[in-house]
Amino acid sequence: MRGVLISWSLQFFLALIFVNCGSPKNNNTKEELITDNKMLGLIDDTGVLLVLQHCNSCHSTQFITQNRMTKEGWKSTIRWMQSTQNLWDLGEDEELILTYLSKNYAPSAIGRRQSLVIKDWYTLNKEH
Amino acid sequence: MKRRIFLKKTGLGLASLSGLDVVFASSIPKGYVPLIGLQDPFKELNKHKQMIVLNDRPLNIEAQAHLLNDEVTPAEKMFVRNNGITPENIDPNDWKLVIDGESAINARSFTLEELKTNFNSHTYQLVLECGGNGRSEFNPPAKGNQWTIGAVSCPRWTGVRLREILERVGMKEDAVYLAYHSRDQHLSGDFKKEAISRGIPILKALMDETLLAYHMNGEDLPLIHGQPLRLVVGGWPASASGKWLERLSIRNIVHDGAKMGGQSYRVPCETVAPGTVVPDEDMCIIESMPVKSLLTYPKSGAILKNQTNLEIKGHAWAGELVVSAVYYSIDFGARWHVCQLSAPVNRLAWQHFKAEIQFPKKGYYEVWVRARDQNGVDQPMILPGWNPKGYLNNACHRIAVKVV
Repeated sequence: MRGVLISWSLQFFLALIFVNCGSPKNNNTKEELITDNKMLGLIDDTGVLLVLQHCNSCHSTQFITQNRMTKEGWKSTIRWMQSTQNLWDLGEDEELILTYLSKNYAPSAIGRRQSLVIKDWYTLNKEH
Repeated sequence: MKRRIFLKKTGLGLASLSGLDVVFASSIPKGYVPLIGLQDPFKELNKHKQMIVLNDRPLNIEAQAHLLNDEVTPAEKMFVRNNGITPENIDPNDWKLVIDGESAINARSFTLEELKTNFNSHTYQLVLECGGNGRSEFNPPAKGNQWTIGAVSCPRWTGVRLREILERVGMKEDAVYLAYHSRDQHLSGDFKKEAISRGIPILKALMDETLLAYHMNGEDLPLIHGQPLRLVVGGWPASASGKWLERLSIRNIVHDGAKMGGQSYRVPCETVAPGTVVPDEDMCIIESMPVKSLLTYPKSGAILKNQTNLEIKGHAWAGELVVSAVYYSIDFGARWHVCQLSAPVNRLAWQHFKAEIQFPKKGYYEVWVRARDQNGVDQPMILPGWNPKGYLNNACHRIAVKVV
């Protein structure tokens, strides 16, 4: 049932993107959008569809996944988008969206300087 | 605006989806595949395949430190910072730049050809660095694109001096600010809104190196970097260097366009503790960028086998100022050693440094570099003054090296 709802809703918001905010150009199919329990890169959790519907029509989900904010922080971001970026009134969806964002994209204490993370150590040849 | 109302009226609750599905289906062209994400930026924008896409709508792409080793940054390795939607179908032959504003004496326009033929061209290597470069290190985090270290570049720009254009137009005595207006579209698609419209004080506009550039590294500006004409304001947050210029306004007030006010490209006028909420009226516009450096060779993660020496290379810059020295440390800042440093090829260009390091024994090392500006101000070793939007992180850069 849930799967049906998701696929239905995806179709719905894809249509919104098409109708509303123009035309990012790619030929991703619906199936490619859902991978590893993520939707367009967003963690699949209660409220994710509302986030997709309200947020993804104007900007990529990467704007969300890059950021970490408290509920207050997300709320002030929504207010900023409403005052400068033409974001509409989210109505009763706002609370659900804020809960989703502040749960899944919350700040963690990273300190003032983190250890360097090296993915690929490589042997440096003398000649360069 | 119509589209917005339409969206609002649909009501976004899941409960009503079933009814809407049919309505939308009828408005989607037959055979249409909904479009998501972006075109392949590496191919379509001619970007190096190791560039990192932070955001594809709006487009934000950064380099990695080792990609920036060239003395003159090639276009394929230059970061992209868009606030809106990249314009399409720009025809340089059917294009003009309007100069107007409260303080313009003879408001008028210029074609690209007029700019190229009626004014002298000048070429400078100029550093453009995003004000938010380094934002990813902020704690508490700052919102926005999470740049690491790669939103900086120093290509060679060719164009006309903004000063000469302003002189031709004439400025009233009350002129204080030069504002730009660009063709990129607001993310929401609202034609009445500008994605970004910033500017610079007249004093900066009158400097020799402040260009209206039409060439980058000897070639026409690539579309993504502002074709056919952009401002290049070296040493200042790159958001001052408007792309796709359509109009410049000589203002008698500090420009009040999009992303001039509020918290955008501003830092607290007085320093604040991390996490502080700062009212808009206590935020000041960023002007010159701070002293900074980048180790571009070798790439972080180098393993040295059967050798204990290593040559390092990189660049240093200091906004409006000159870099007077660069130092490196292999013991986490306990001891610093002088690097060889070149003079800038012109004012506001980055400078190159190098050094030969001798590691005393096997082990894990971090090579840190630290530049000093002409006023004796050094880069901090950790994140400097926290600010709400995560600007001006000029903490020293470091790479990891293992001697085995």
